[in-house]
Amino acid sequence: MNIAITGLGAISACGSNIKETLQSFSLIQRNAHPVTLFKSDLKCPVFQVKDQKIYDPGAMRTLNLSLKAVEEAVSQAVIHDFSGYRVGVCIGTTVASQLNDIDFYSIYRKKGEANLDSVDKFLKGNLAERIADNLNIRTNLLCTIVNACSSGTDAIGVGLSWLRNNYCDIVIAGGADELNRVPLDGFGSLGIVSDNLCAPFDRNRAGLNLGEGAGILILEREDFARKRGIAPELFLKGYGLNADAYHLTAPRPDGSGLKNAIIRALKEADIGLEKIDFVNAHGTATRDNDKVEGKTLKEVFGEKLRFLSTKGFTGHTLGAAGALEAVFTCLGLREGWIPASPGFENEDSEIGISPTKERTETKGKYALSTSLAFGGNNSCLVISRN
Amino acid sequence: MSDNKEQELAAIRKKLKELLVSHLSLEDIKPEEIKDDEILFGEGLGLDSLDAVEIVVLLQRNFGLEVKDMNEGRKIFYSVDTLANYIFANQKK
Amino acid sequence: MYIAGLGIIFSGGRGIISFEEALENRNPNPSSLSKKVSTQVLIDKIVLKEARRADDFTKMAVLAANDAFVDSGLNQEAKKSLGVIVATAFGPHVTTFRFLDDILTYGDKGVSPTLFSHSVHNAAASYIASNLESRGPTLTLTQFKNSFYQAIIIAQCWLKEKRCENVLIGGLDQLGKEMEYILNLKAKEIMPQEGSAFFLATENKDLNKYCSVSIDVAKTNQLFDTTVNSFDLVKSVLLAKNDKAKTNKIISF
Repeated sequence: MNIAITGLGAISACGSNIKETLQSFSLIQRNAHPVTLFKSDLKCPVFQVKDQKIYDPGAMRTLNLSLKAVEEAVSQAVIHDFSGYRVGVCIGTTVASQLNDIDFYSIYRKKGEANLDSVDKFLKGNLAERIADNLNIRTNLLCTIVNACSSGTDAIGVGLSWLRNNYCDIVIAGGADELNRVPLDGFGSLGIVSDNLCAPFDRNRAGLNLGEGAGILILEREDFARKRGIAPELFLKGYGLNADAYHLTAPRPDGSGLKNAIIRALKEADIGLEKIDFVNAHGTATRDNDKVEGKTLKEVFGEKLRFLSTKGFTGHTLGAAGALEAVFTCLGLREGWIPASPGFENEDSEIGISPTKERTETKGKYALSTSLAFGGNNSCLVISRN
Repeated sequence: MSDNKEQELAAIRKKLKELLVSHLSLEDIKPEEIKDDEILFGEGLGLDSLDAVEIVVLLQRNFGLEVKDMNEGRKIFYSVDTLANYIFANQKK
Repeated sequence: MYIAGLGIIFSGGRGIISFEEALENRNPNPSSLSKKVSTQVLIDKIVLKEARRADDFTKMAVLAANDAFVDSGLNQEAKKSLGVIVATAFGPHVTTFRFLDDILTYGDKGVSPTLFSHSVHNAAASYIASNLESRGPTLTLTQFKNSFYQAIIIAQCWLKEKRCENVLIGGLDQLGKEMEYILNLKAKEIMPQEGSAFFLATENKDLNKYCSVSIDVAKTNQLFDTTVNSFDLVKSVLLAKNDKAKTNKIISF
């Protein structure tokens, strides 16, 4: 059973749709500056979305970002009406799952009581539920994945499982997150945020930049898509998920979790390593992640591996990252090129391989997207094109 | 070493040990059981990378000290002694 | 899939025996029941040896998951292919509010990284995996009242796809004072409790200790009340096990 990817949607600091994103990639635009969405003592650069379209003024920013990407993906998949279809919605996030409104809490803390408007916003703002509502989809297959930095990838993986097990015909899968004081302060306190623009895999890399956005894929069985009159170009061929069982914030140094996830995904895709044309790496620009991930990718694929990190364009968008990167991987195959990895200049000898330094043609049929998360999750997706 | 300095250092070490136990939720060890030359990471107390960044916060809150560079931090955080000496040398009065 | 092991932490204590006793001594006045898990219950020097920094949310999960694994009798080798799925409605909100305290008290640059790392929803699953040294797929999900139901669906998929040979599926939620305040205003009719219940599920019939559980695919398309939570399932599973008819009971929904 082939699972087709029939629609893509993306919004990030690169642009509010795929066309703008590809333009940013071509021009190597890095749209980062200190956060202006909320007051903060932290002046590090973040990748904030410009001109966010508001679908629902009462909703959390993350939901509005998601709805933008969903709109683009659904339109591309040429679905006008979901009635009669069995649909599932699976979205990854971190911030939107947390009740962390600081204005509500600061009043409650002082007075022992507070207005519950922001709590209502949170309770009514579950991404999967609201996306389904918005599209008049009636289903029990609604899921929110909160696997930290691999949430987006894992949400897509769940969608794949639902389809393979025939729970539904179409899945809207992806991830979204907004810039928020809690992760900004939190990652800052862990000492892994850079005061400058991030430099993934570079020998002088000094940490990540946070970002925000949403990435959405429409997944459906190939036969179902064809019956609808769609001729799919892209396919989701495999998914792997493996735990480090090592530490809450540091990755397992031997990279075995990532290795096992890659092996599983390739096995599902029924292809050998050599078929992978390029890898869209997690590449956050922290010392630890890039070292473990880079070394593991070199060990698995060899020195000649073509890989990139797009976090130099989007920042680390947390729950959206895996989904945005799945979209970018699809684009790399469909458009026939991948961009340079912005921020990278000099190879780290401890890693031993370098990401793309310039726009690079892709000719192969298969690509891999990897995600490594806090808590030790390692996930990856194998995507192919016709 | 002058008596005053030694007294101050002793006071810092004592406070530090109490803070390490409470702030890092160390179980099965009382502050007074921690040796002065106890190594903090790896062997000794067996602290890890998350504890390291937590100690940065501990220094900030209790002694008004900033550790900007974690490479510098590695040397300062070697043992209770090195940390106490750093605090003594740099703390805001 | 078959249920090979159960573990539970609830306001009445820890373990299936305590839970069965509590069910038998059904309190005629439920509002007088304690809603919280006592801190005494969350002490276990062996299981929680590497969890000194963990908050109560994580400790509840680690203990219940560990008990379910031990109950199943699976050996060490099985841990290599053990999946973990944690379902929660509100996640570690107690720690999130403590982190907000830090921001308000100490400012953006003075917050605790330990509090932050434990305020993420998937911290509990991470500790479960570390505690059991399980290297299989590990997932945390949140869907307010339908979390646990979604977890069972995914577990069923994972086993069929052989992503893992066995999977720990758990439901978990806390009741902090802020949440109590909110629920009191917004949902007076429910009687919230905190706790955690874990099931070890497997495709291996020989490991079946309790009964089998399945989800009817067709029903996932109609909207119906999917408020199956993990405590309800424990009750059903125990009833199935204690059924004198002794046929392989199937709980399906």
